[in-house]
Amino acid sequence: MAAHSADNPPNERTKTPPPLPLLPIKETASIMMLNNDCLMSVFASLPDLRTEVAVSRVCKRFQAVCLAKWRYSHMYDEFDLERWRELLPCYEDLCYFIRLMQPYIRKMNVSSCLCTLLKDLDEMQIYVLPMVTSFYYDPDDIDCYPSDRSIQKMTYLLPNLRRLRLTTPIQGRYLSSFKQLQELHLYEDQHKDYELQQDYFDDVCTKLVNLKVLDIRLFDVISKLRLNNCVHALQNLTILKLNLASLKSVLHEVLDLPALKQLVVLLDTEWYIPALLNVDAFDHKIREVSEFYKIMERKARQIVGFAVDGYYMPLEPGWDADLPIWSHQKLQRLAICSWTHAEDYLERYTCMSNLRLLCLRNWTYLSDNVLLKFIESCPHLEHLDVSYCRQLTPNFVHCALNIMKRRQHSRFLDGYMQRLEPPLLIYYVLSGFEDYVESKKLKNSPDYKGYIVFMDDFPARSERGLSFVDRGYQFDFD
Amino acid sequence: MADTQKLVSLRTCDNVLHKVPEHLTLQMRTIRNLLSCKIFSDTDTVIPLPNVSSQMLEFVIKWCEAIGPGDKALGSMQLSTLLTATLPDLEESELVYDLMKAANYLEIESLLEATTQHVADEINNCNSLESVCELFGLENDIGPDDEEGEWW
Repeated sequence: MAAHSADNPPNERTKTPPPLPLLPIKETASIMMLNNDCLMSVFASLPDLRTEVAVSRVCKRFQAVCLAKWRYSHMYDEFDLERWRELLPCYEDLCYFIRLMQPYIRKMNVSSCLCTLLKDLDEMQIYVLPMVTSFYYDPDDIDCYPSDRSIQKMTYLLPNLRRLRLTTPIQGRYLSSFKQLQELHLYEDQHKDYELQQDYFDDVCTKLVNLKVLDIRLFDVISKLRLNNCVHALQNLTILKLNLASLKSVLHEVLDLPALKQLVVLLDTEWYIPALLNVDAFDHKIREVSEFYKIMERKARQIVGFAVDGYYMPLEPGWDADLPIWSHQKLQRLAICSWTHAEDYLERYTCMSNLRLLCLRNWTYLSDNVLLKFIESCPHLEHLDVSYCRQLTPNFVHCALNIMKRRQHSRFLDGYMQRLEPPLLIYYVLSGFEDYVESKKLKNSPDYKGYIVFMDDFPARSERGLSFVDRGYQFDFD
Repeated sequence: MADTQKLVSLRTCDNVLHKVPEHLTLQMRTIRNLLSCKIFSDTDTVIPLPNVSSQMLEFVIKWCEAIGPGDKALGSMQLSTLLTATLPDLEESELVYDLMKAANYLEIESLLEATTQHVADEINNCNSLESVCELFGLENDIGPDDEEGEWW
């Protein structure tokens, strides 16, 4: 090894070389004869991330193999600083690991204070996470509201963010700097101290041309946000979720949005009540249904699904007798929840033979017979939500299975060798037959396999709780 | 008994022909897949093993005899014991690596697991980065610029 001159200081790494191993050259290189598959298998047998990080620092090749292992395992696609701190107690290891994974992290779910997290990243010299497309902020400490400055820093940190969800209140400044943003979700079913400022909201709508999903619902006060200045800019919007108060003045413009596929309306909890109203006659239900009917009339031809929360919507029996949807019969998704009237009027929907989803969550008087008529008439039904329907009996489950088996048999006779229809997913929490399903272990019953699957949760894309859609209504358009 | 035993011909990279009982070769997924092809189903056909030496194949056969049919899943202690019985000179790391490569090529899960676990245990016994480097006879070639993921 050449000696270093005094004015040319040696590199730190070569200054004090470790004693040369007294091994033949072949021996020193022997582990390098293993291919990457073998090395990956060796590293997969290491007990924890801490050891893997230590091994990855041995040489470039080990580093590349470890990095490939971390990337392709997808265990670290989601940035989770709290967990990573536990896995790598040594701060230097943690920084090294994050710097290596920096270009490959795809998601961030943050439950700690955002401001603190951004400071931590600053200290680690992590200034950009280019592949992160989804950010969800739901702090355990609910007072950790993101400041404008934090949002601004985030726009630099996450330049390619596509999906942003915040459960905390936010003023909205700098949101329009997420140039690639496609989804903005700001709804949370809890009180918020304030909502977006109107001018920042207008900015979001006009500057984010790729915006496809916008959820600006506000849970417990009348929303003051208006779309009047910006609705024209939402040309690519496919899903809009907002308060009735925000919709009222721009209903026609919203319904004219060219890409709109779903409209979800949250009824505001308060409304203008005439001063002369008798307090004894006050009804806590929201008496604002005119927009609901207007949408029905205006978009009848395009409506492929609708959902109403019967508890908050003052709909009377027979409300739907003259709806313009009957002549089109295009309904694929139907949800009428928390219904306390008789079930007679439900039967008319059995003519919608294209139904894929039927949600009758929390019906007081829903019987087996009506439901079986749907099973009989709607062969494409994939999701049936009857959670909280206490009057249903185990008999429904038997009969539904028989109908489906009979249908399959007739298909077989018609020459279809395989079952083509997917099984029916029944959401049955707290329904009248829940105990029966549990005690008879029907979830694993071979008899039901391929026909009925019993689900503990609610259908995907439905709100949790007693209704398919929180305190309002929803329309799906084709 | 031995006369009626079906044998499979394997030629190792050092050009040695081995006649191996078929039930042992069936534990090697690579061979098993080849035997299921028509061209290799004839027992007279010689299967070349360009990545396996004669010495390694003998170890592999010993392993397959010890582990029995089905390449069954064993605990790490059992695998370690079996590996010691198969490869007495485990200190010779090059032999372990060669056996690992053979196991990887022939797709013998249990042997691959045993050899990789053996090396992983050796790493675990190191208490510093330097000792890992020493274990493998490697020099750390990572510069400060290499401590960041590659960008594209």
